[in-house]
Amino acid sequence: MKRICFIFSFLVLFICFSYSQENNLSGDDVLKKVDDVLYAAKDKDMQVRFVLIDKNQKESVIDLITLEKGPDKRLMKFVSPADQKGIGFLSLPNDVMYVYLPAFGKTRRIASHVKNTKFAGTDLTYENLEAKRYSEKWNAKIISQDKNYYVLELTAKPNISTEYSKLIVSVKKGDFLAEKIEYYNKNNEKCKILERGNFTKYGKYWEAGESIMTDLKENHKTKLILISVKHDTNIPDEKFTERFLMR
Amino acid sequence: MKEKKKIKNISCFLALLIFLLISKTLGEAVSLNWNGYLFLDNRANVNSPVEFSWNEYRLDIKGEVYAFGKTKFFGETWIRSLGFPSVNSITNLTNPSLLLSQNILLREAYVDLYGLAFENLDLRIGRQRISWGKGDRINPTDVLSPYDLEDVWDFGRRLGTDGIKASLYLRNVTLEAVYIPFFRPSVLPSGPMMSLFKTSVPNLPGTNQSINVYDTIEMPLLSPKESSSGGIKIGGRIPIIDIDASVSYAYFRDCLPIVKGIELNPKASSVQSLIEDAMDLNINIESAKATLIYPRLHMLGIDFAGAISKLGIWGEGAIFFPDRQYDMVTTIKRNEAIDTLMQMLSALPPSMTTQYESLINMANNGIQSPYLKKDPYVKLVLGIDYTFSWNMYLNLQYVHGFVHERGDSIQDYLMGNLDWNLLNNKLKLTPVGIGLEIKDFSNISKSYALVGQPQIAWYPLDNTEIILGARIIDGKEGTYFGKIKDQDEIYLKIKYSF
Repeated sequence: MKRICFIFSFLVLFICFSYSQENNLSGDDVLKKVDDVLYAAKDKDMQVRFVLIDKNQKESVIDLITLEKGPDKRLMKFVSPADQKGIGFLSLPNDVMYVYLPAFGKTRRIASHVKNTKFAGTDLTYENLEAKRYSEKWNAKIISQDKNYYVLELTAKPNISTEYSKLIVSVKKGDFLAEKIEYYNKNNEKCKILERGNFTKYGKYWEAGESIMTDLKENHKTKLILISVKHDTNIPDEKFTERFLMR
Repeated sequence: MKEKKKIKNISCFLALLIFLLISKTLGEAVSLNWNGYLFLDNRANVNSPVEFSWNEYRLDIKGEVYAFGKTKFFGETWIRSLGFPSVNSITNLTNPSLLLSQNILLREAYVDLYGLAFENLDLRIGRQRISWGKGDRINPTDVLSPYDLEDVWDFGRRLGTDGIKASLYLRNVTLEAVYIPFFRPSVLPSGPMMSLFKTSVPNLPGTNQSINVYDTIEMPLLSPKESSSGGIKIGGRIPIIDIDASVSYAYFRDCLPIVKGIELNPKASSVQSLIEDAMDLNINIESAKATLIYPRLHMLGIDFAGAISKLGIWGEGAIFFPDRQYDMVTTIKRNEAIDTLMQMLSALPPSMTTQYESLINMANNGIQSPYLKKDPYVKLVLGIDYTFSWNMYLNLQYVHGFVHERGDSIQDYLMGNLDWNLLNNKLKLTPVGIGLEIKDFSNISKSYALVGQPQIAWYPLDNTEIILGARIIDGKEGTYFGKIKDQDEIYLKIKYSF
C-alpha cells in the first residue's frame, strides 16, 4: 500500500512539474518544440497531392513526390498534371534553390526573388516551401494561451529575408503541433491562412493528413493531402543533388 | 519413357515458375511512363496581302522505362504535319503525304546507366540533347547539339545528337565528357525566313549583284578525324561567392555552314557583247554556285549563375578558335566568250588591264578572301531576372553574337520579356517581349532592328494552354532582322498535354 501511495504521489508530482514546465515555456521554446515535432524524423519520403480550389470551387490537382532530409533539404518532383510532369524543385541550405525543366534538359539556379511567387499556381510560395526550421528564421513570443493552445507571434530575425511582416501560429499544447498559421503581409494585413488537420501518428512521428492554405486576397485555396509517407528510410544525401533532380 | 516424361513435366513447371518469378520481379522493378502533348501552331503574315505563313500540328510522345533503379530508357518522337498542301499536278493529288505534309522525327532516344561501373558515374548513350550553358535559350558554349532553326522564333531548340555522355559526380563538382562520333548539321528555316541564312554573293567589281545563288554542301568525311566532336565540362557551386559555375572545352564542327567557294556563271552571250559589258565593267552574271563547308573549331567556355541580393544573374562566354583560316575563292565559269576575252586582255600591256584585274583573277585562279579568319572570336551572354511582388517577371539578356555569327560579323543584341501572371496563373500577359539588334553603336538610328512580340497565354483547363500573339519586325538595311522586316505575323498556338 505504501508503495502504491509513493508511486501515485510521484506521478502527481511529475505531472504537476511537467505542467508547470510547459506553462513556463517562452515563445522561442515553444517554437523550438514545434520544430522538433515537425522535423522529428531524420528523413521523409512522401507522396503529396495539392488540390487547387478557385473561388468558383473549381478544382485541379497536382501530384508530387517529395523527399525531405533534416530541416533544410527538400526535393520535389511533379508526377501530374501532364504539362508539369517531370518538373523538379530542389531546396538546399542557405537559400540555394534549383528548378529542373525537362523541356530544356537542364537545371536552373533560381534566385531568391522567386520566394514571393506562387509555386506552380498553388497558394504556397517558394518561401512557404523552403526547408528551414521556424526557430532559425523567426523570433517567437506568446501572445495568448488557454488550456489547449499557445498562440505565438513570429517576427523575422535580423537579416532574414521574408515576404511576411509576422506570423500568428496556434500550437496545440502537449503535442506541439502547429495547427494554424496566419500570414501577414508587409502592410500588416492578414493575407493567408494555413490550417493543418487530420493529424495521424506514424510510429513516433506526427503528420498532418490534410492542410489547407487559403489566399484571402485571391479567394483561392490549396488543399495539401498526404497520400503516403515513409520515415527514416536513410535517404542518402546524394538524392538532394542536381544529379537526382534531373533523373 | 515414363521417367523422361516426368523430367519434361518438372522442366516445364520449373520454366513456368522461373518465368513467373522473373515477371513478378520485373513487374516490381520496371516502370513504364509515357506522356506527351498535342501542339497546334497557326500563323499569318499580316503584311499585304495577308497570307497564312505557318501551319503545324505536332503530336509529341515521350516514353520512359525505369529498370531496377539503375537504368532508364527515354524516347521522344514528333509526329507532325507541317506546312501547307503542296501540289502542282493532278498526280500529286493521289499522294496524301503531299496534302498533309507529314513527317515523323525521333527527337531523342537514349539509355541512361546510373552508377554501373562506378557509383558516381552516369552514362547516357544514344540520341540526346547535350545541353551546356547557363544563358536563357541562347548559349554560346552549347556547341555540341545542332541548332533546330526550323522555327527561328523558337530560340534554343536543338536537335538531338547521337553520342555518349559520361557524368562523374564528385561531391560538389561534376565532370562531364561527351563524344559524338559523327557530324550532324543544323536545320535551317524554310520559306522567307531562309533569307536570314542565305548565302550572299560578295561585292565584286565588274559583276552585277542581283543573281540567284545555288549551293552545294560538302559534308565532312565519315571518319572520326573529320566527323567526330567531343568536349569536357567541369562545374559546380563555389560556396564562398555562392555561384554555380563551369568551364568547358569542345573540339567540334560548326553546325552552320560557311562559304568555301563561289563560281559565277556569266550569261551566255557573244564575245562581242561580253567585251562591251567588260568595257563597262558590268558583266552579266546569270547565276552563282556556292560551295558550303562546316568549319572545325575549338571552343573554350565559361558560365555562371547566381544572385546579387534578390536579382538573378547569369553569364556565359565562349572563345572560338578556328582550326585554320577558311578562305572563300570566287571564280568565274569559263566559256568561249570568257576565254576569248581573256586572250585579248592577256595580249594587252598590264597598265591597260588594271581595271579588269578582278575579272582576270576570277577567270584564272580565283579571288581568294578570308571568310573565317584564324583569329579567335568571342560570343557572350549576360542576363538578369527578377520577380516583382505583383507576379510580374522580368528577364533581360545582352547577347554578343547570335547563333549564325562568327568572327568579324558578330553583332550586339538586347533581348527581354516582361511576363505578368494573373488570375492565379490562369492568364499570362507578355506586354513586352523584345529583341533589339544594334549593328553600329556610333549610328544606332540607321543600324538597328527591333522585334516586338506581345502575347497572351491563357490556361483555361488543366493541361491546356492557348496563346495569342503578334510579332512586329522593323529593321534597317544590313541588319539581321531587317532582312525579314516584311514578315510581321499574328499567331495562335494551342497545346494540350496528356
